[in-house]
Amino acid sequence: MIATDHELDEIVKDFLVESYENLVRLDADFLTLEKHPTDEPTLARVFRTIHTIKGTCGFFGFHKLETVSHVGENLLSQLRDGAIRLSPTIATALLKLVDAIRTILQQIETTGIEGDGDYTPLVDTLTRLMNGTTDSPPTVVESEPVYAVAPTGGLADTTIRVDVALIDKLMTLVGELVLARNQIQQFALKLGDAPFARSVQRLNAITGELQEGVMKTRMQPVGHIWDRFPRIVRDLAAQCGKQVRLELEGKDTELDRSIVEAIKDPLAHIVRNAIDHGIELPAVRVARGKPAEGCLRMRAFHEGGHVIIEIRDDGGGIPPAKVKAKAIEKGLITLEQAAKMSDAEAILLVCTPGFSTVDAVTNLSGRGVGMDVVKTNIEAIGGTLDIDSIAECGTTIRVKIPLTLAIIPALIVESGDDRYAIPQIHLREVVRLKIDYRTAQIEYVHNAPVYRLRGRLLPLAFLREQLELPDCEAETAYIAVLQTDGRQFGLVVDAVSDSQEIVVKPLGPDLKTLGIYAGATILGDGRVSLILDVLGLATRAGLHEIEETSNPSVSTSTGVQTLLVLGMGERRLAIPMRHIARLEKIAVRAIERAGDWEVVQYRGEILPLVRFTQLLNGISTAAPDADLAVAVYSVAGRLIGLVADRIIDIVETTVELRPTAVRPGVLGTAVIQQRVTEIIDVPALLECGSYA
Amino acid sequence: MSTTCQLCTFVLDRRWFAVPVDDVQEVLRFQEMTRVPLAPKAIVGLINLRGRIVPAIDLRTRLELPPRAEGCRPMNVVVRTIDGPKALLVDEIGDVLELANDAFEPPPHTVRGPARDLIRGTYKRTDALIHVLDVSKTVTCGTHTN
Repeated sequence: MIATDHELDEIVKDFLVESYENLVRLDADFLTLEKHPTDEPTLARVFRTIHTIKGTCGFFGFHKLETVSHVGENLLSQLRDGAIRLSPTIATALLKLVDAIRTILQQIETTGIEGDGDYTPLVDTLTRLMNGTTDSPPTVVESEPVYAVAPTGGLADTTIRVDVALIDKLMTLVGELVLARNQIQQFALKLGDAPFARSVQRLNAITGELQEGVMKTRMQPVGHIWDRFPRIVRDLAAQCGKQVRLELEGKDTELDRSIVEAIKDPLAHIVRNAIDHGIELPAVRVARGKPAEGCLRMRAFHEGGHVIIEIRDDGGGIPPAKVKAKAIEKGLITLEQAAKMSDAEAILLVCTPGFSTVDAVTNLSGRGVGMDVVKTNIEAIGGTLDIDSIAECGTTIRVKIPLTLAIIPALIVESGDDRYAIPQIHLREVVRLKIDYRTAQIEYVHNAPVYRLRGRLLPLAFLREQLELPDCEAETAYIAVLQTDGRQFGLVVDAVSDSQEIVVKPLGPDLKTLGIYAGATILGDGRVSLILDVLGLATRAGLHEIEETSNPSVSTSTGVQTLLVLGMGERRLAIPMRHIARLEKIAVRAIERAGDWEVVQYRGEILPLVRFTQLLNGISTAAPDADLAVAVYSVAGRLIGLVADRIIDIVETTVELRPTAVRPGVLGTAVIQQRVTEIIDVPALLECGSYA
Repeated sequence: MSTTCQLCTFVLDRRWFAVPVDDVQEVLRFQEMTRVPLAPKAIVGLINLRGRIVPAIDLRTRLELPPRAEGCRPMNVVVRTIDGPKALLVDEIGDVLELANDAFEPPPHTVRGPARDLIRGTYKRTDALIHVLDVSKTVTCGTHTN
């Protein structure tokens, strides 16, 4: 078998590492047992360890090891059951057994085979002890082979197990370091001393790498939790009499381990729901003209510094009417509310506490732990949950979660002298309001302030008003367009100062219960800044009661993408948001030249600009002195500024590509927001413009 | 044989107060604070204590004493609590005193206001009375807002 090969198989390696670890504990356990011969938990643990080794080595075909551990296991089972009592003789024999196992394992590790040691005397002794002849002299173990000297650089040396608490501590320290670095950077800017600035730059680079390294040690692929889904799906499908095919995609997508832990149960619940409530019985499916076998697709991928996990089924969807009826019955909403509610809003009702659409409580889902708990758990880790559903076509649940909890990108906004941080995960865009915005740009629907954002009414909340701070007379203001709970609202703030990585620090219970702060952080100048809890703020502002004015796209069963729609003359272009780092307005006078390139100085770096008009033979209709709309595109660690006339919108939609005359860099056209839009393949476009 | 108690003393509105030395982590000069809108009234801000974010509780507010005069910068007595360190804002810091428990007396039942719950008792010194605060009650500010 594999054992003849010196290139040890991965599985054998795992087996060896695990067994070595267990053996170390075994020694200690036996010593405990000598003092307390009947200590049940220890006996059970020892038994399990030997049992595991036996089971696994049988699988690999290590027969010698199997025989030895098999006899040991039998003896231990008798000890465990109290049939015989541990005597010093038995303890000695068992310790010899551990040594023998260790010797064989080392043989396997170095040579790939079990070696030619003779263990029959040991086996005999163990067998005799088991049969109760404990008084025979313990001479038998003498003929054991001399232990091999432990090989240097063995497997146990290349990986170590580290206490998670230690890594967490390191992470906290790195957080502190990031803060100290930010402070020193600001100081260096003020000082303007060149050698000092160089040292700071070096410190900056090292800190960045260290942060990345420590984060990596905490990263785990989503695969860790996905491995359990095939089994869950199989069992559930069998129980419900349904046929379900599970497709898993992107299992290498990495997440912070604390987050992996936190999303495990919510995901399992979503999957359970999908099978129990979503996918129909085979007969129903066939009657609806679908294949008898339902498909459940789980996809994980990175998008804009977050991880998206999408769970899509092609089942019956969530019927809005039924949801409304149920919510009325449960007293969650009134008849009038139901009448006003859009389908998208109705679907979100499933996340209301105390809701369950299934008439009968099955033993699968509907055990009182509903989607509301799933949503709460996901929001607790700074994530968001979106549901898209169409009757008879299926349901898509998108879970958007931050990569890590400890250090997050945030936008720092100002309100007078106070600064507040808004987690980037909730931020869609920032709009600058001009002079006299109060009268000129903000309108009212009855008494609710709104802003016309590209033709749609965006409900507004004023940060000062929400925090009960005195009003200010400033002439300009900004709207941070925030998304939470599948809805958008605008938070009006005095100014926007910067976006930066912040280290999240928890608040004490007195302040946490306020529900409007998600934590606090320390900014570059050492001042403390509060992190706004966007959901809490929206709830406080009563924004959830304002009727949904935007029109969330209800998806078909193909992939929902987040697209940035740009305008170039009369043409509309769309590019996936996945690689867009930021959107910027850049003044024409800021443009400089470097060789053939147009460049601008951007956040301490030089950003090359690429104009869509040049690449796509387009005509710009923007005024020559108008600010450029720049989408900062990130590719292989480099940034490129893509220049369009204007930014039209960010849409989440499904794309139905229609073939067009083939042009390099253009994937095709699609109808987005009822307008024909060209879908751009940015890498291909850059390549054909020889910019890549 | 009488036992003694070590107290960290401070002044609030010309009166002497104290907390047990064992509860005190450190004493600091005035620190810049970040205010927390909508927080309980006594929590006047957050301070950056060597990278740790610590809420500052104004004891004048907590004990319903008149507010500090303009420009009078409070000192911080940082106490350890189960929820991590918290800073108590006081007017002035006094000495650490070792006082005999003989001189201790529970507060008279005529004490009114929030102080009634917060003052554990009083040490009688010839020159003054020193009121000992219950640290865990003092740092629990409830939810009434400003």
